[in-house]
This record gives sequence, structure tokens and C-alpha cells, in this order.
Amino acid sequence: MEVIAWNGDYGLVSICPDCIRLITYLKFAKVPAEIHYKRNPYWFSESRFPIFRTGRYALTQYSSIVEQLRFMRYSLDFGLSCKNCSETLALMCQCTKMLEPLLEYTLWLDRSNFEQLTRPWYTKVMPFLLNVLYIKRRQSKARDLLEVHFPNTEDLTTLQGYVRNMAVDAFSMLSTRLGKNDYFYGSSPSSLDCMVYAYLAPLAKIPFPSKEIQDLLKTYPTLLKYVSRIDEAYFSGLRDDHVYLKIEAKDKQQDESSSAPMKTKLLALTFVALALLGYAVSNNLVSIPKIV
Amino acid sequence: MGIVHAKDLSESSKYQATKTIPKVNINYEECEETKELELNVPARVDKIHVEGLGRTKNDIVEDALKDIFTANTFQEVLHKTHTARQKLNSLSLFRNVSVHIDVSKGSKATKDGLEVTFQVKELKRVVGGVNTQIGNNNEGSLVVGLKAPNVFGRGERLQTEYSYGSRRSNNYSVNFIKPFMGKRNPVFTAGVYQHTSEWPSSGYKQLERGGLLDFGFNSHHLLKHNLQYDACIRDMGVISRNSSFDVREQSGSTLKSALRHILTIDLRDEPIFPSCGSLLQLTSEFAGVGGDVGFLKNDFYLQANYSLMEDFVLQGTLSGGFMHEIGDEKKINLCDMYYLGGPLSLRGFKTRGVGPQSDGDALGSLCYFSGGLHLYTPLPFRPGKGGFGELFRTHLFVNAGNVADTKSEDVVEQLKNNLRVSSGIGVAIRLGQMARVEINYCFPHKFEQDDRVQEGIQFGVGVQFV
Amino acid sequence: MSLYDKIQLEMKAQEPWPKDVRLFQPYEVEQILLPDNANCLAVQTFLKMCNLEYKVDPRPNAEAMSPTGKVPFIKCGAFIIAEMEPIVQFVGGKGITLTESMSMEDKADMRAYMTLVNNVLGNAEMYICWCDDETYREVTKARYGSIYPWPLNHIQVWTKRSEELKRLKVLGWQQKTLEEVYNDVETCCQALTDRLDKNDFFFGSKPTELEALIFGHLYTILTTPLPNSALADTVKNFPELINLIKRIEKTYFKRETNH
Repeated sequence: MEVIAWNGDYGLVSICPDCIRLITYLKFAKVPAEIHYKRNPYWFSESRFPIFRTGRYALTQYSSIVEQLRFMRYSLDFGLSCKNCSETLALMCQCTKMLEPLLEYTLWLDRSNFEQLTRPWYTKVMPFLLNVLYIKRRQSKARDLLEVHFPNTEDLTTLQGYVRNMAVDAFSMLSTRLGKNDYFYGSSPSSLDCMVYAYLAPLAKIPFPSKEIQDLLKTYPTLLKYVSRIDEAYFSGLRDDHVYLKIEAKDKQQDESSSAPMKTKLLALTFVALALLGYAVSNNLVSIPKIV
Repeated sequence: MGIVHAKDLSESSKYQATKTIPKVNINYEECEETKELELNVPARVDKIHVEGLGRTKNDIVEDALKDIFTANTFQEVLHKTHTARQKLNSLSLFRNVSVHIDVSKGSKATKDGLEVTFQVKELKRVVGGVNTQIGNNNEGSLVVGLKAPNVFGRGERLQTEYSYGSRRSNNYSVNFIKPFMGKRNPVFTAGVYQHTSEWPSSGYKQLERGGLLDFGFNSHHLLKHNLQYDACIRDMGVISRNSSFDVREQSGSTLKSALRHILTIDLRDEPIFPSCGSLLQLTSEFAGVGGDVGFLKNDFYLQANYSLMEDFVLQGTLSGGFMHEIGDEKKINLCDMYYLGGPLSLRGFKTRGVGPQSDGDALGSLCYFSGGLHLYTPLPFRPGKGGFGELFRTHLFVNAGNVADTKSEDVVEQLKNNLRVSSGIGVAIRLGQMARVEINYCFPHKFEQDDRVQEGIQFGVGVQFV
Repeated sequence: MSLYDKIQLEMKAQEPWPKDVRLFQPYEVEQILLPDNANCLAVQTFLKMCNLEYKVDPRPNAEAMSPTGKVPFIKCGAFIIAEMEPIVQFVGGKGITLTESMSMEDKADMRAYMTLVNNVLGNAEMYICWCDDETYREVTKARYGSIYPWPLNHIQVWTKRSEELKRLKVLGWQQKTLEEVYNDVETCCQALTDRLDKNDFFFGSKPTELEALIFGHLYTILTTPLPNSALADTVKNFPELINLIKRIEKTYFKRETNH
């Protein structure tokens, strides 16, 4: 059995929440699978991570993987009552509805996070040209998801407000439900814990340049303790600091007076050159072989 | 070759309703030989040369030029050559047409024979441009267009345009225009368009997508007809949450499939500040050939100008429209109704300010009329006379108008009661060849309680004003 | 909006329930589709449970009229509110609620289950209408386009279908097979049955908006004739839920249907 997943950073076992969820499940259920960390999903025919391989199967959908693991007698929820199972289903729906768009927004749509963290990270990690393609696709996927959850919101500021309100609802709901327990159902983790950890850990640990959501999460110490508890118990060997990309905490004043990035300068230069060329051609200073 | 210089001996023979031949300054020292010819000298054209044809087909050029052979005197030759040159220009075949008339030489030359040479420069295959355009809803727009003129050699052109308007409207259109040969100047146009527009005074915005087929011709050289078929899908939506419920009830998509006939008789001497002549435009539209929108609309626009003395022009205008419903199955949407009010239809009132409304949103009427009496004078003390000052006119006006509901009885009674009247003074400025800008100070005199009145300065830009 | 206007609006929102409230939805017999019918019925059930007067006003362009593009929506004086959750909140703002005696945990639970029903049953209904070729061809196309003239009916149906397919793809539903959808519905019904646990209602002795939502979806699934009756058959395997439906139908709609 093997799992192929995205590389991790900033103390996370993987940068991608789907991968974290699967790896956490494997650790909780003590599945003896090898985990290989890769940097380029396009190298594989499935074109996305995580990939779970066993025997003849290569699966990417979380639900099918869990189904297969259950079939192989690696189940996490066998100790739960019917009512708890039913509750788990309802809560997982709610988490998907609230936490997934939250994380997608924070990583891929928030301007400063995307420009200073997400894009440089994937650009550095993935090979040239494929990184551009992947980033573009992934960002439009995030945009589509937010569009489905918040239709007809063109203004980014309004969207940010909605996302923030949703974050407050989600965190307080989870915090209340967790209460003083170690895990959501008693003292051993369940599949609900896998999902919640997979969404909360990146929000807690990645050093986002735009700190709004992270600061909000910090006002729920129960949830932060929950994340660090699972880290200590199951992911103790991970480095806490950066592996690929160092995020500098920038001064606000510095940001405003910083000079335009190289790309803008290059674009401006190209535009001026084209304009001059056009003027020269139209005044017959330079001749170009006729196409028409 | 010499230069032919013609002296007009007969002052009285000026053709009416056509322009005189433009005069050219000739430097006589440079001529090898000068000869004076009287205009009424008998002459005929032996040959016509056309140089510079490439993709343009011969038959269309021959059709435009064949009339020249019927000339009998020198004046007729000049006149018909000029007309032919104008026709070639109007067919959009060439960038430049220059004419050269010379005495006929060679073995087949007759005694009074002349040779006419047309030197033409064809238009490029693709022509693009950015211009500004004035629409008739008080809006200016920036137009970016790409044109392929003279595509198959007979004056057909394919043009695509994108325009962005000052009222946040976006238009895309692609048109194919084919002029036909013949005395009646028939032109066939087929096009598709997409047009988004917002109407805050009525609380809605709409997206129109459709196609238009147009066949235009002159049944008489002064009478222009246009027969059109227009199929259009309109998506209407409210502009904000505060729009009235009556407007919200009409949201959604409708399909209008309509036949239209436009008759235009323009006898004015010029379109923007005419000093004499009149204009009559009649439009009839029948919607209901398919689709779910059905009505019969008839509107007219009449303008008459009378010159009191030099540069003082009295103008009367009258415009009106009448709409019938057709059956119960087809409906009439807000965007089909008539709206009165605004600098183009009734000065002194806000755009769409007259008529039934709900919660501040104008709902339109089925019948309206609007008339005006104007006095145009040059600017006081005539600054910039002969040049810049000619772009401006002082403008005194009285406007009156009313709306009515055709479903209830006695439309005429309704139009007579509650008449809206306003007057004022302002400045009108010419914009290019087709449009003008007006800045007026208005005094509304008679209005209803619900009307949205604009007292004071009102600014208007457009092509057709009442 | 000025402060005065805002205060005015707040005060108006707290006025008692007016007598001329109208609920707008598409035509029931020839136009409405499965998911919209479920939502409209859910809102109607909720209003009946709260004992609030309303009148149904069917319109062909109800979807276009709605401020969010979804039906149903209600017009309450000058206010227009669409979809179940905002309507429940609006009614709650007038001091009318079905959950006043519930604890905070129960309310959180209820919201979680409502999300479950919307996510699973709602998306399953959408899938069957728009992704399943047989149902799309025989039912959806004809019904959705019935209010438009040719060729607008085809254009509108194509546009709507591509929108819905895109939405289902983003949520991960378009890639499922019909079998997987039926399994998800079965799991959801099992979860609801487990939570109901042989009681009359989910929380206490009175129904809440959760019961209204479940009634809306399940009643519609059971009574809408489709080319493939597998969805209704899946639901019929849960007798406790069927009994719940029957109970609500008898109490609030004063009629009985055999399911």
C-alpha cells in the first residue's frame, strides 16, 4: 500500500488539505502504508494528489479510499453508535460547506496571501511551466467554489466579509462541539477528526501574510490546542519552520512605499517599445514587409 | 494635355437640390495651353477610362458611370461626372476617386468628343478605427471597429463594432452590407448584435441579443424606405434591490420577433442646423411573428424649418407614437413602451420623467406625443463668425407633450388633459456631421404632481431632438 | 441609506406579520422541477407550522423575479426574501420561531442536519434533473422550457443546464454515477432515521424547520413521477421517515396520501 501526496511545509505533513485528511486517517487507523511526497501531480496519470495505491487499485477520491480501507478492515468509526455516525455525517457536510471555501479563499483568492505565499510556493516547488498551468487551474477552481457558495458577489471586499462571518460561525460551532474533549467523540479520534484537522491545521500553521482569519482562529484556544494535540501525538517529527519558502513579516509602511515589482516594469517597457515601433512604422521611418 | 477651364455663362441654370461643382484654384502660369470653353458647348463623351481597379468588379463601376454617356453639353458632362464620382464614393469601394477630363484623341475620336479618366485607389482589405459616436438616448460612446470593405468586389462590406457608452452600455455588432446595382439604390444589411443597457429611471437593466435583416431602397430619390426584420432575445432584470415590484414582475427573458417599416423623407438642407426644408419619418413595427411579445407600434417624427431672415430659423417639431396590444397571449414588456421626458423628447423634465410610475420607476405609456417650437439664432454679437462661431446656435424653445393609455376610452381627451408644457433658452453646439449637444435653462410651466421635473440647467446630447 | 432610513427599515421589519404575504413559485402542474418543488414545499410547510397566513402566487418568471435567482421567495410588505434559511431568519426577526425551547446544542445540531439534507437530498434532486440523461430528456427539458416560445425554450434550457452542471461539478457531484447518488441518498435517510430514533420529531414534541425541510424534500421525491422510480424506492425503505411525512401531511395540509 502506498500513498502519493504533496510535500509539506510550515509544520504540516502536506500543503494540501485532501492529502492531510488521508494521511491523518492512515495514522489514526494505524494503516501500514508508505507515504511518498512528490512535487508534480502531472507526472502521474491521475493529475492530482493524493493517490492511494494498493494491489490493482489507484484511487483519488477520499470516499472510495475510505471504502477500500474499511473493506481491508482499517476502519476508524467502528466504536461509534448509530446516532454518532449520523451526527458525523451531518457535521462533515457542515464542515465541507464552511471550512473548505474558507481555506480555498484564504489560500487562493485573498490577494496578499496568493501573491506572497501560495503562488511563490507552488512556483518554487513545481517544475517550470507546469507550475503556471497548475496555479491557474487551481485558482479558477477556488473561484468557482466560492462562486457556488456565494453567488453574484463580484466585489472582493463583500466576499471577504461573508467569508469572515462564515469563519466565525464555523469556529464557534466546532469549539462548542469539541468542548473539553480530546477528540470529537471521546478519547480516540474518528473520521470527523481527520476532516477537521485537515482544514484547521493549515489555517493555524501557515504563516499567512494576511492574518485576519488566522487571528480569528487564535481567539478559539480550544481549537488551537486540538491541532497541537494531534501534532504531538501523530506528527511529532515535522519541522516547524519553512522548508521551501520563507515568508518575511513585512512592515506596512514598507509595503506602501515599495517600488513596483519587476514584472510591472517589464510590462511598461514592452508597451513603450511597441508604441514607439508603431509610430516609427506609421511615419515610414522603419519599413516592415507587407503582409496584406 | 491641357487643363480645361470652364466659364459658367448662364447664371440661371443652377440645378435644384444638388450641390454646385466645387471650385478649384488654378495657377494659370503653370499651364501649357489654356483655352476657354463655354459651358453650353455641345460635347459628348467618347471614352471613359478607369484606372486602379483591383478586386472591384467591372459591372458595378460600369453601372455607376454609364449615365455619363448620355450627356450632350459640356455642362452636363461635368455635372454627370460629378454625380458619378459621388456615387462611386458612396458605394465605399474606393479610398480616393479623382477625375480627369480631356479632349478625345485617337482614331475613333469624334468632333466634340471628350475622354474622361477616373483614377481610383481601392480601400485596403481590412480597415480599423476608433471613433466616438452619439446615440439617441442622451449617451456618447467610444466605438472600436474593424471593417472589411469591398469584400467580393461589388461594395459588400463586413463590419464588426464594439462600443462602450457613457451610461455603462456595451454593444457588439457584426454586420454584412451589400449594396445592389440599380436606380433605386437598394442596400441589404444582415447583422447580429448584443447590447447591454441600464435604465436607472425605470429601475431595470437589460441584455438584448438578436439579429437584424434590413432592406433599404429609394422609391423616389427623396423617399427612403427601410424594411426590417428584427428578432431579439431580451433579458431584463432589476437594477437594484430598491426597484419597484412592478418592474421586478417583468424580469426574465422574452423573445421579440418583429417586422418594421421606416419611411424617411428628408428635404432639409442639412441635418443639424437646417435653415429650410422639412423631415418626415414614419415607423411602423409589428411584433408577434413568433416570439412571446406582440404589439403594433406606429410612430412619426416631423420637423419643419423656416428661415425668417439670415441665420434666424424658426423650427417646428412634432413627434408621437401609438401602440396597440395584440391578443392576450402576447405581452408587451417595459422595454417596448414609450417614455416621455428628457432633453431629447421633452425638455424641462427628467429622462422618462413624465407618465405612470411606481415607487419612482417609470413604467412607460402606450401613446404619447411631444412637440416643440424653436427659434435658432446665431450667438449674440456673433463671435467667431464664419468659423468657430458657426458651430454654436442660441436656442429659444417651447415644448409640450403628453402621454395616454390606449386601453381606456378616448385617447384624444387624455392627450388634451394634463398637458405638460415647458420653455427655455439655451445653446446648441454641433458635433461632427450628425449630432449636437444642447445646454438649456428650462422653465417647466405645466406638469402633474408625479412628474419628475428638471428646472434649471439641462444637458442633452443626441441625434434627433423634439 | 441614511440612519433614519435604517431605523425605519428595522422598525418595519419588526411589525407583525401582514395579511397579504405572497409566496412566489413557478407553475406547479406544468413547469416546476423536482428541486424547486422541494424547496417551495419546505417553505410552505414552515409557514404553516408557524401558523402564518400566506397566499401562493404562481408566476412563470418566478426564478428571474427572485433577488437571489432561486425559488421560492416571499413578498412581505416592502420586503422580498428568497430561500428557506433567510425566510426562517426573517420570521425569527418578528419574534416567531419554532425553536424557542431548544438548547444551543440542539439548535447547532438542527442546523447541521439541515445542511445535510440540503447537501445530499438537494444535490441528488439536481443531479437527477440535469445530469441523468433519461430524466433530462423526458421531464426537465419539456417542463423548464414550457413557458418560452420557440427557439427561446431550447436556449434557456441549454443555458440552465450548463450552469447547473458546472455547479454540480464544482461540488463534486457531476462525477458521481447514478448508483453512487442513490447510495448517498440512502446513507442520508439512514442518518436521519438514526437521529429520529423512533421519536415523533427530532427535537422534543414539536416539529421544527428541520422537519419542514425534510417533509418538503421527501414528499416531493415520493410524489413526483419520474421515468426512473429508483429514488422514490430508496426513500420508501425507511418507514419511520414515511410515518413522519404522513404525520406532517395530516396535521398541516389536512390530507392523506398513500406512499
